[in-house]
Amino acid sequence: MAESRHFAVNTAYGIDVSSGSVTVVRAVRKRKSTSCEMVYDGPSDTANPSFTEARTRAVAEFAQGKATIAACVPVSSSTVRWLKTPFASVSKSRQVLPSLLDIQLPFPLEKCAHVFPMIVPEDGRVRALAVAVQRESLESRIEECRSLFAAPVVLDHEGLAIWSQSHAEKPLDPGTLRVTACVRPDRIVLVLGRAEALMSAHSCLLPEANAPEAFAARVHRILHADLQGESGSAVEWVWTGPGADDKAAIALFEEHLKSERIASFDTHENNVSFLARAVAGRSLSTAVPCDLRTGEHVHEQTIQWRRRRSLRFAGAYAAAGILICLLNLAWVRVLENHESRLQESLTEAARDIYGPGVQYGQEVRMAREAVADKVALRAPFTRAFGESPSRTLAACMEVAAAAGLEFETLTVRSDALALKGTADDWDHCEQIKTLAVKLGYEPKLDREDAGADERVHFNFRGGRI
Amino acid sequence: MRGDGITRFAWIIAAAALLCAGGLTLRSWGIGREMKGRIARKAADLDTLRGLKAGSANERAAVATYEALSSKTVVPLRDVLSEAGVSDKAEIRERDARPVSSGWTLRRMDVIFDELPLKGLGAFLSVAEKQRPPWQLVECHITASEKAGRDARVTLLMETLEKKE
Repeated sequence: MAESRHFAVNTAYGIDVSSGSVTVVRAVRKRKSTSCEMVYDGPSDTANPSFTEARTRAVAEFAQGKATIAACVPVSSSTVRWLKTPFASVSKSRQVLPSLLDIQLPFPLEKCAHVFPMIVPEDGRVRALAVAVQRESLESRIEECRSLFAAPVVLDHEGLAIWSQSHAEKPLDPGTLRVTACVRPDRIVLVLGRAEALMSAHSCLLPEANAPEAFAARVHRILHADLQGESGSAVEWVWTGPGADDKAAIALFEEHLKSERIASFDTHENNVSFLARAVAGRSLSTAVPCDLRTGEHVHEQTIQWRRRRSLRFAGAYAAAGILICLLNLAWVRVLENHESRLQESLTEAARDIYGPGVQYGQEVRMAREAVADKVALRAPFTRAFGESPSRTLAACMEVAAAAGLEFETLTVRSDALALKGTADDWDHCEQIKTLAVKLGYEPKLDREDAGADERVHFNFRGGRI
Repeated sequence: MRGDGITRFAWIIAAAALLCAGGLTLRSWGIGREMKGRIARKAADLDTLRGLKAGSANERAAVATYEALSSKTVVPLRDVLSEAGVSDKAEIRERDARPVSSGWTLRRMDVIFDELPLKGLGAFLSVAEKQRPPWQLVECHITASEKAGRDARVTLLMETLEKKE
């Protein structure tokens, strides 16, 4: 498959050679659009200063690697076919496409240069547009271009170029059928398609084209064959090519072409440079790339671009690899620094408690041992500043008085609280439980139903949480 | 041909760099996992040490507070009872006395009241804790009296810190 070369250059010379005349367009790709400038239109004549100047300019820009040169193989010496594979997978389909194309070709595939510029999954199968040209024709076309102007780097397909340029200049609504008729000095090229894609391309020789009735009959045969099952579809007809400016001839054709099928006629602008614009623009674009210079016919510039691109990818991968290596080293270094700072803090904190001579890895143990002896000796001092059991006692007394509790025994320690007594109501015992929770004890309350004394006997125990 | 050689060399370099990157990533992942574990342990140890240091500082501050007292001799419990205006019939027994930090002695006394109004108990504890050095309640056991009224049998364990000057 042809590769897009959008990464390579922003300038392209599109050449349209036919019957000894040359049309050259210089296209420059900008951010969102491509602008075209007509460089030369006339016979290939080295004695003509304009021709020489145009060729010198194009060759110089090409030699500096600033521009590419594009041309196309005519529809008459090439084949365009839509192929359908039985697979849903595009990669699988790619493997069988050459075999499918081989069946369709009137000559062996080995003698052809072929590309599949469009491969689209459709209804669980894959459809592919195949373009093929015999190597002999390809070589003679390259030679023709070389002798008339310059050897092209990219050799596009005339039908595809006409179709995409027609759609670019006069956009089609989805589903609408269009025939773009490119009137050339020696033939008329008919390209049929919808907005989505080209359907077929045909070439009519000029003698046939000069006889309007015969031409119209040929057109209707083509439409009938290509639009089988689409009898109701109206077709939009658009003229282009150098001959499209001959209003009288076009009017004559339209008169004979008028039918139920062909609903409207239109004409493109700047028709002389239409095909040259098309090939130049397409060589700078990524849409439906098609370069029939494949295999042994690949241009040296294309080889260099591919090599450069390969180098660029290799460089990017190498840079990514090196970056990942550096990130890894940096990450480990950061962790090491963090650990070493933490170790320093640890040693310092242990030294503050234990004194000098703290062993690595034994910091906590040694500090704990150093503190353990002092803790027992200093505990009474800290206890004096802690929560006193006398406060618990006072709080219990207060609650008992308020809730009408009577104690039989009451034991208060800093770590435990035990109460045994009676209450005049089942729920009043709860108040001592609430207090215990508030003071940080885990309560356990047992109650008995009121006995002969009509009081609820309870037993409360609480341990410090 | 020369260009192909350069391209091939560039891809070899790229493959080597990616291979190194993969190897280093695996190595770093292993090292990082181990180091993260060690770092977490060290951070926990550091927290423990900081806790110990803070506890130690609190203890030192508590000792310093006692050291700052104008008198380091404790008021006898009998005097405390008198000041609180409760029964002087309480039985007072020294349970133990042991040296603690910085030349101080911890003294613990059992105080037993056969019959004591609960109001009197509150007054006694309040006065005891106001002494400098203070008498602290360690344990209190109250048993209701058989007799009617608010009197009870009270057993207290009191402690104080004292330093002979």
